[in-house]
Formats: sequence, C-alpha cells, structure tokens
Amino acid sequence: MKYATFLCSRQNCILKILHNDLPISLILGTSLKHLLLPEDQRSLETLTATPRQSAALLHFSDSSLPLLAIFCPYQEYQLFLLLETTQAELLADFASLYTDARAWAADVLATPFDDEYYEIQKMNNQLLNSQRALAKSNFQLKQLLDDIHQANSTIAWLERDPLTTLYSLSAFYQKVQQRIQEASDTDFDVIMFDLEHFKLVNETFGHAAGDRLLQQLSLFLIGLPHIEEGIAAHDSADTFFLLMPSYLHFYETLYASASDFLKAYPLSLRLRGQIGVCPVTDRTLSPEQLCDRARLALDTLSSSAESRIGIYTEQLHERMLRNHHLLDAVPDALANREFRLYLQPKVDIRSGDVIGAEALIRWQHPARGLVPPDQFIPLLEKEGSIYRVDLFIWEEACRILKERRNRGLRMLPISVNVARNDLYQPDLPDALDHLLTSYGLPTDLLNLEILERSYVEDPAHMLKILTRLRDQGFLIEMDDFGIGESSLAMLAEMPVDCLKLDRQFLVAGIHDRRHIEVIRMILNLASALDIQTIAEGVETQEQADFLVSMGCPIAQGYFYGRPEPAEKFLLIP
Amino acid sequence: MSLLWMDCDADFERLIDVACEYEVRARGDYFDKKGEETRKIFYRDMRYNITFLYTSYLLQDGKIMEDYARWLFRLMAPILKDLSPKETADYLYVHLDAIRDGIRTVFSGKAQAQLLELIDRAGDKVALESSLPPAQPQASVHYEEEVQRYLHLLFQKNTRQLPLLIQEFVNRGIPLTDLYVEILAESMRRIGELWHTGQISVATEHYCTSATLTVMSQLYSIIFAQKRKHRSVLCACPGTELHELGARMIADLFENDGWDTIYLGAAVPEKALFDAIRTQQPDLVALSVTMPQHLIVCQELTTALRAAFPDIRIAVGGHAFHSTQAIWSKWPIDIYTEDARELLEKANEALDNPT
Repeated sequence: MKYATFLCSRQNCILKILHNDLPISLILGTSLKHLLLPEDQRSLETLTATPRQSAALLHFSDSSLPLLAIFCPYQEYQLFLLLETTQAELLADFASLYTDARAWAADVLATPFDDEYYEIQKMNNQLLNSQRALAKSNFQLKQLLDDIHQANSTIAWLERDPLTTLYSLSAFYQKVQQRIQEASDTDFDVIMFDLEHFKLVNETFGHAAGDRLLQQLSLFLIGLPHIEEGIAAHDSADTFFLLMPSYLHFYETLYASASDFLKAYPLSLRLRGQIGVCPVTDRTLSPEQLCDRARLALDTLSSSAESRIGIYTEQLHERMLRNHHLLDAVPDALANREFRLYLQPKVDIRSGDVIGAEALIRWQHPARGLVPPDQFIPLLEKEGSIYRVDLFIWEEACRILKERRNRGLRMLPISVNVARNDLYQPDLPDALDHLLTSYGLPTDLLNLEILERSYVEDPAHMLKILTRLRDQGFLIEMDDFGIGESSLAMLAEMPVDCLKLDRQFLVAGIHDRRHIEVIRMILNLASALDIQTIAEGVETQEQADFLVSMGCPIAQGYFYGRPEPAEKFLLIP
Repeated sequence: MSLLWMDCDADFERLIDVACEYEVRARGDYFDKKGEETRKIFYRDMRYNITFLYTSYLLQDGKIMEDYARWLFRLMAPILKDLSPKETADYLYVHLDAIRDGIRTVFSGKAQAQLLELIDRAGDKVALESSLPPAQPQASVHYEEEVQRYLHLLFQKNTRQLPLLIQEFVNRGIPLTDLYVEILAESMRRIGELWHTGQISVATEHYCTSATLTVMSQLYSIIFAQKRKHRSVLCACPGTELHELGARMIADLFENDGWDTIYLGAAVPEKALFDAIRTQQPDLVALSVTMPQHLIVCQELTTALRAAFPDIRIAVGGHAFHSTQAIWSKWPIDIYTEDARELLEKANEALDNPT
C-alpha cells in the first residue's frame, strides 16, 4: 500500500516528511492547505479543528485520486497519514496504523526538524565537536601527566642534597624505611662515613676547597662497585650515610678505597676517613635510630685507635645505656656533692718543693664506687654539661685555697681544667671573677688549664677568650702539649703562660736522640718566649734526672705524688 | 540561510496565507505559467519573509526588517537576472504590497500600524538598494593573498591540500587570532556573499563551512597547549540556530588564550545549556546568533540565564546583531562585541576587575 506520513505545525505548515511514496509533492515549509484543491481546503480545517484523531478524503492538486487523510494530534504537532485508497476495509486497520504512526513520530521528534543539508552538516559538526572535546581531554590529560612528571622531578630534586646530589638525610630515612620493609630477606648495614678534622680543610683551604672535596668524595662514593645495590646520602658537613646489603661487607671496601682516595687527594693535609656501622638486626628501629647507632659506633673510636671502623654491638649498646644512666645521675651527684676534688702536686724539680697542684676530679658514686674521670668527663663534654661540674670543682679548689689561707699556710696556686665547651660559655669570665672575689682570692692563685687541641679547633675564639681571661689576671696553661697538632707558630700568637708537656714525651723520648732534641728545642723555645714549662707524667728517678739535665724547672707525676683528696693538700706546709 | 521553520503565532500564520493569496492575485497568470512547484516555493519564501517581519515586530527593531529587505533585493537580483534593478524592485514591491494588504486584512489597530511601518521601511530599502551602482570589487585585506589561496582550494574542493595550506600559514608565523579572524572568517564572509549573489550553490557553501571547521581542528595542538588561565567560557548557539562557525571560532580563540572552553555548538536547547552551566560552572557564557530570527530565543534565554545565574557573566555576539539597533543594549548581559578578539579582551578585563 502506498502512503505518505508527515508532521505539520498547528498551522499545517509541513515540518518534517517521514515517508512519501505517493505521487504528490510535499515541500517543507509549505502549508498543507496549498497542496489541496480549493474545495478541500475547508475539509482540512474541519479535519484539524478537533484535537482528536479523524479522517477524511482529500483531493490533492498533484493527484487525480482522492487520498484518505488520517489526522493525529501529537504533542504540539499534527501527524498526517495519507493513503492511496478509499476502501472501507482499510478503515478497520486505522487503529494499528495510528499507533504505528505515533511511535514513528515519537522517534522522529527526538531530533529537530531540519532539511537534509542541515542534518548532514549537523552530523558533521557533531563529529567535529566530539573530536574537539576529545582533543581537549587529551591535552588536559597530557597536561596532567606533565604536571605529575614535573612534580616528580621536583620531589626528586628536593630529595637531593644540592652540594653532592646524593640523597638528603630526610629522603634517605624514607628510602631506608621502604627498602628495609620491602627486602625482608636481605640483611643490611647502615654505614656512616666521615672525615677526621674536616673542619681543618675548610679553615686552612677555604670553604670552596672543602665543598670541592665533598663533591669529589660523593663522586667517589657513587663510583664504588655495588653502590647501586644500596642507598647513599649526604647529611651535613663531612657526614655521609649509606644503606648496603650486609653480605657485601661494603664498609670494608669503602674504608680501603676511601683511604686510597684520600691519600691521593691533592691537599697538603693528612685526610683520614672513619666509619661507623650499624647492622640492621632489629627492623622495628627507625632509620633515624639506625643512623644514630652508626654514629655512636663511630664516636666510640678513640682517636689513637688504628682501625677507623666502629661497629655497633650489644656491648656498645650496653655501654651507651650505662653512660646514659651516668649522665642522668649528674644533677643529683652535684647536689649530693658526690664529685670530689683531688689534687696532684707540682714540684720544683731541683728543690723538690711543692709549688702548686693540679685539680683533678673523682666521682664517689653511691652504687658504683669511685668512678675515674675518663668514664664520665668525655661524656659530659660531649653532652655539653661539663660546665656545671667544672664550676663545682673550681669552687672546691677555691674553698681549699681559702682554707689554706685561713690556716696561715703558704699560698700554692691550683691549676684547674677548663673544658673546650666552658670556653664558649658567655658568662665564663664573670663566673670566674665572681668565684674568686667571693672567696677573696687573687686570680693568679687559680690557673686555667686548656687542652692543646682546643686551641687548634677554633684559634680565633681561643685568642679572644683567653686574652680576656689573661687580662683578668689568670695564668693560662696549655695542657697535654705535643699531642694536639698545634703549630709552634701558635705559641707566639696565643696567650699562654705555661706549657704542660704531655707524658708521651717522657715515655717515648728519653733514650731517643731525636726525641731528646725535640724536647730540648721546645724547652728552649718556651724559655725564649717567657713561657714556663711543666713536665707531666714523671714516674721514675731516671725521668726526673733527665728533666733536670734538660733544664726543665717544674714537674708533675706519680714520682712526686699521686692525686690525693683535696683535704690532704691542707697538710702541705 | 537557515531553512529551519519557525512557527509564528496564529495571526502571522494567517498573514502568510492571506498575503500569498493577494500576491497570486496580483501577479495574474504568472503562477499559471510557472506551475505548481513554483507556487509551493513561493509559499515557502513568503513564510520565510514574514518570519523576519515577525522577528522585527516582536523585538521592536525596524532595522532587522530593513536589512532583510536590502539582503532580499541582492539575493533576488541574480535570480531575476533578466530584470533591471528597477524591475527587480518592482517585483519586490508587488510582494511587499501583498503583505501590506494581508496586514490590513489580518491585523488592526496599533499592530497593524507598526507592521505597515515595517513594510514601508522595507520598501524604502528596496528602493535604495535598486538605486545603488553594481557591487564594487572586494576591497583588498591585509591577508588578501592568503584569503585568495584559501578560497581557491575551497572552490576546487581540494580537501587534501587545505590542511597543508593552514599548516603553511602557521609555519610562517601568522598569529592564530589573525588566521581565524582575518583569513578564515574573512573567507567565510566572502563565501556567504557569493552564495547570496547566486554565484555558488548552497551545497558549496555548506562544503566550505564544514571544510573550515575541519581545518580549524588541526590547530588543536596550538590552542589546547597554551598555558591555562583557570578561567572557563561556555560557547553555544541558542534555540535552533545552526550557524556555529562563529561560536566555534570564539571558543578556539578563548582556548588559545588559556581559557578552558565548554563548547556546546549549534542549536542548543535551553535545558542542555542550563544543565551544562550547572555542572561546569563557567565564568562566562557566550551566545552566538547569526540569523536574526533566533534573536527572539536569545533574548528570552539571556533573561532566564540572568535570573538563574546572577553571578555568571553573559556575552552575546554574532552577525544577527549587526541587523539591529543595538538591541543587545536592552538585554541583561555583560558584554557585547562585534569582533571575537575584542570579546576576548573584554572578557579578560571583566574577570581581571570583578565588581
């Protein structure tokens, strides 16, 4: 059956042709009325006047036959079905035709009514718009990826130490944590590496040379075999940390290679590396704790030990705990007067007369008995709490001096140790001044002993503070002279009144011609500079004779008298 | 020219029928000789012309009708090529008279007076157009050579060479804004003119539009790669407006300036537009209208937008506004410009200096 279906506006303007195989011409935008013969135009008006389905026979100007027009109001449109028949039986199918037409119209109405050109153009444009949206999304995605890369680079850069480009310590902590967790079946060592006396490099050759050394050292580190199996970081100054699998025994390779590297390094200074190792036996410890332990292992190396590798052990751990308890007990010890002043006499070698004493300290610990100074003084120095203890001892010395005066005894000066940290206390000159004033003592009765190596480590500050103390009237003694790597030139510059020759001179020297010449030269030089000399550690008659032969005026040592509780000093006439 | 039919109100629908009857009657046996097909096309054209009258009347803007009359004269001149300008004008007078008679039949009172005035103004413009000398050759533009080369490839339908030509322009360092406004837009303006004067078919015009939209796509690598400004604009053609090239150019130029664009394209229904604004929350909504009959929808839309989104800035523009007496100035909008570059400038200014 031939038919036509189309949608019109309420005013019968043809908006959309759905189907047409009838021999009539349907044109978009044309009123349906204009397709009809004049006599049927009124029929159309009647047909569409009521808002319900209806049908009529219409005569079109294009067609010789009348067509059955079925009219369906549909939303704001009107749907027409034209059938090329007048047969009554078709009217029986009207309902189903009508339903089909409505469904069809609903489908068609989903798109706007355009002519075909526009349909194609619109489709093309929609395609282009989708492509545009896709391109935009792609660019946004690319931008996002670029941002992520950028952020990753920034993070990677922030993880690096700018001087050496090794990991920074904070990044090292993170990476160590991650590695230790991930590689649960691998044993690791945390290794700390540093240079002895690096500060000297900076001071002698300038910071640029120091930085250059650190950069070269970093390059050396990352060039070591197997380094890629571990993680390397630069902390600060000359401190480097590494995490390496234990089976490599990397610290041994590192020590050997670093020794060669440093020996060949073009600086006129003896450079030596030292290593602290903490095997990761307890994975619950934080990377910070592991690094602390490696540092502790390194710190326990004594400066004289040949091996420069310290390994953290349980014994070390226990010692650390012991030290910790000891340090904890210091405030109580001060309050309970557990620290005791001991005095060792200084004598005139020729006459044998006591001409003064050196103040030494002992700790009468309530549980551990008498603790020797080497077990707690280095700890206190490291912790920075030596000053309080020194102040206590200085006061004890003043008390004894006052007591001697009260008893009408000869006034013998006492030399007290002044730790390097003490010399950085802002109130030191005033505190000493106040102390002597309060005991009514002149300053030249309390001599100040400064370790030789304190001079070396910060000459500028030492010059300033010691000049001030000397101006206050104190006599300055350079303790342990000869082992602290000071230069003889320093003697001319520094305010020093007395040199205390380290006992090593006597141990090593009295039978060796070269050593004898060195001692003679020192004594002559000191004499020429008006610096007094005291020989420490004299234990035998032979040593005493030797010193006499060398013209050394004053001596101290077991040969003349052991350190004794201070009260015994009151017995010396 | 949009062929999308607008439903006028019932009186204007009746006016179409009545005016058709008057004109058929006035032209005597003219339609008998031309046959039924011409009669139907004639009816369709009457409807289209009355759509402009309707728009002009509804928006109370006589310039719409005047410009349309001038446009119609220039359109008819090549179609009625055997007629002199005066005879062409006379042909159109018959048409306008029929509408005038129809207005007198269908309307009364103030509406009748206003509509008659609009027809009079249209008649005046037809007279003016017919008295003008033939169109002068196109004035040369800054990128004349580039425009000519682009048009040449378009008319050859050389779809393969077009992207290469655009790439050459880019490689030569022609700024993207110049490429869009002074080469592509100018070429399309000339194509519209050529269709209008009957020198190219509507099919060719549509090919040129599609080809231009396609070559614009190859510039994505430039426009999307610009540093982002974290500002966004939504571009759309309201109602049933299908001319989207202008809106697309605006979207691309904003994108090239670092804005993020939400480009909805042609014939965007009000609901889709509102949904997009709610989800995307743009800083600016830019509506482009090319054909004056879509100004009615655009006006309604700007009012609804302002009420629903008081904080969003609204910009309108497009060729349709050239045919009005600054109709945009009565609308609740923030920005109107005649030029895409100026729109970008003003939009940036507006966002730089929030009030």
